[in-house]
Amino acid sequence: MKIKTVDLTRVYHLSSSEITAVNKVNLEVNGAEFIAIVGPSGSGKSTLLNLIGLNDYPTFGKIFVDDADASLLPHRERRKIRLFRIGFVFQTFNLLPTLTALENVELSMALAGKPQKEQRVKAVRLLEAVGLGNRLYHRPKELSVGEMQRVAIARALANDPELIIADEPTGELDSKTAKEIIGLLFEINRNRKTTVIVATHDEKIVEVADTIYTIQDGKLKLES
Amino acid sequence: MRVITMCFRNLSRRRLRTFLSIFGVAVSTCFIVAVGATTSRCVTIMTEMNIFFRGEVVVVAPDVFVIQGFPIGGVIPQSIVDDLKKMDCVEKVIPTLFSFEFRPGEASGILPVNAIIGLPVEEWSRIIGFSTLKSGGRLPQTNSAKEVIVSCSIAEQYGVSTSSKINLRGQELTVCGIIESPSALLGRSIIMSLELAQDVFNYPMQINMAVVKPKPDITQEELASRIEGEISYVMALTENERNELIKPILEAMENWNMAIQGILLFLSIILVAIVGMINVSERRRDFATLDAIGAPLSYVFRVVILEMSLIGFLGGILGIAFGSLAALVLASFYTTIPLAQFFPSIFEIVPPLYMLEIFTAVVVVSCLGGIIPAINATRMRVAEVLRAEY
Repeated sequence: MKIKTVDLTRVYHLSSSEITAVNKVNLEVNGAEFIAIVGPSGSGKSTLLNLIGLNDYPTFGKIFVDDADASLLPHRERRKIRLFRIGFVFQTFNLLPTLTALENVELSMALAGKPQKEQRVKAVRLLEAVGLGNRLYHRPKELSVGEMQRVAIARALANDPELIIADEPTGELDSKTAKEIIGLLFEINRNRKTTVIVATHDEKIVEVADTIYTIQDGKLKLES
Repeated sequence: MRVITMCFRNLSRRRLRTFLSIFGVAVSTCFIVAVGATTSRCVTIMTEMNIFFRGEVVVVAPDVFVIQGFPIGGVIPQSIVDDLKKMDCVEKVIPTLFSFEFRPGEASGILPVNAIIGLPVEEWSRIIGFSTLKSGGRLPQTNSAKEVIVSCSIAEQYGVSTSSKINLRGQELTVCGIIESPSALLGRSIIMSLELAQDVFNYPMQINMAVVKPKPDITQEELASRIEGEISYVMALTENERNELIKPILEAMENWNMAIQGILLFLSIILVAIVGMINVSERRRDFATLDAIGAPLSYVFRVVILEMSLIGFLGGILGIAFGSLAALVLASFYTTIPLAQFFPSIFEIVPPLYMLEIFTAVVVVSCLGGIIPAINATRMRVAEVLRAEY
């Protein structure tokens, strides 16, 4: 999945002021890369990821998905891209609390219209792959934070996305669990050839990333 | 997983709130069913009264209140029957005596009863129609016999069977038949000969209504006009006039019933909408996550509407159950018939079709109440929700 942004800008209008969260960002992502976007809190990382993940509309500029302009696509088309081609991992996991680990993973496939039997087989396989084969029927509140993030990763992989967007995936985790999650994302990138874009200020992620960008006051800069 | 299972689990996250909202809907439904069934039973009884004397003119004392074909109080001398028979436009005259009395607590009698009907034995069919008697029963043979027909409901309530003796206002009477009738009026009647009724109620040679059948060549209106012109101190009412007399009462009852039902359903919508909005605002992140992972808006909309309909579904079922019970209690209270006796006829007091109508209305109303929360839920975007949280 190729992503290209041209002068991508997102401005928020607060009561009397304007905040430019993302400022003329030009970014090009080719397939199977592991990209880290590093920056302090409030620098615009999450906003940039929301724009790339088609969860938000840019104020100015354009975003191209496989050379097609996706910046002004209607909600329905964006939803299809998010469902079938992008997987999301959030800092706060965002699992549905009333569903078990298995059901959380199955839900993405159910939304994609996959048969129930296939959903179950694949969800079990994915959860086993992230080391949660023995926690299938546990609800989020019965899991540790590390386990919740693994479920979130399994959910993100459910529809075999070409791109995984992870917004501070280790932000809530202790260093040991964070290392395991980073390993998992790296493995996904290498084994599945899935592009991974991670917003972080975790040094360990930076160490494994192919490309590192820094972001400050909404301006993106290629670091290495 | 099935959406409905998810909705049940979502509702069970806030058990107290869900319980209270179901309870609120159930209370509304209960009132709707109880008030509606009671009103509709009254209306049915009143409307039914008119089927007995279709196409005939009834003659009663002036200013008597007449519910369809049945006068409440007011007597006229029986000699009027002879005056009526003398008129050339009259084919037939049937004198009758009715008493709608409630006398709870009378020591040795079968009272209270709803209606006592007295009419000449040769005219039984006018009242009984196609209703049948329980096996072993028969109609009274002569006008002077001290025999009565008792309705099934009264017989059950007081343990009366064919050949039983009953004491009515100090007179010992024999039950010669027990009538089985779906009619609410006949279901609570003691029917006897006119002569006996006059004797029991101490109205010698008096009646409170004469039913007059016009000859084919004269209309009811013309006959009524002639009767009032030729016989003094009577009121002659045609079928239309009787309908007109009762119409405002029926309309008022039905309008009040509709108004009460409308208000209660509206309150249910408000309740469901408020609960729905609280639920949605509490689960902003869940809905935003669903949107982020690609759930269609229709899916999110469906989840909220389904949750609200489940509240309506459960509240509706509970409300109908309690409302039916309340309708039975009301019927028992107003007729002094023991509650247990009403249980077998619960579907007559609250007809299944009426239950279904109310249930459907409550579920639809709950769905309507869920529309605004559902629209709110579809507007949750992960970028905005997460930004608001941080």
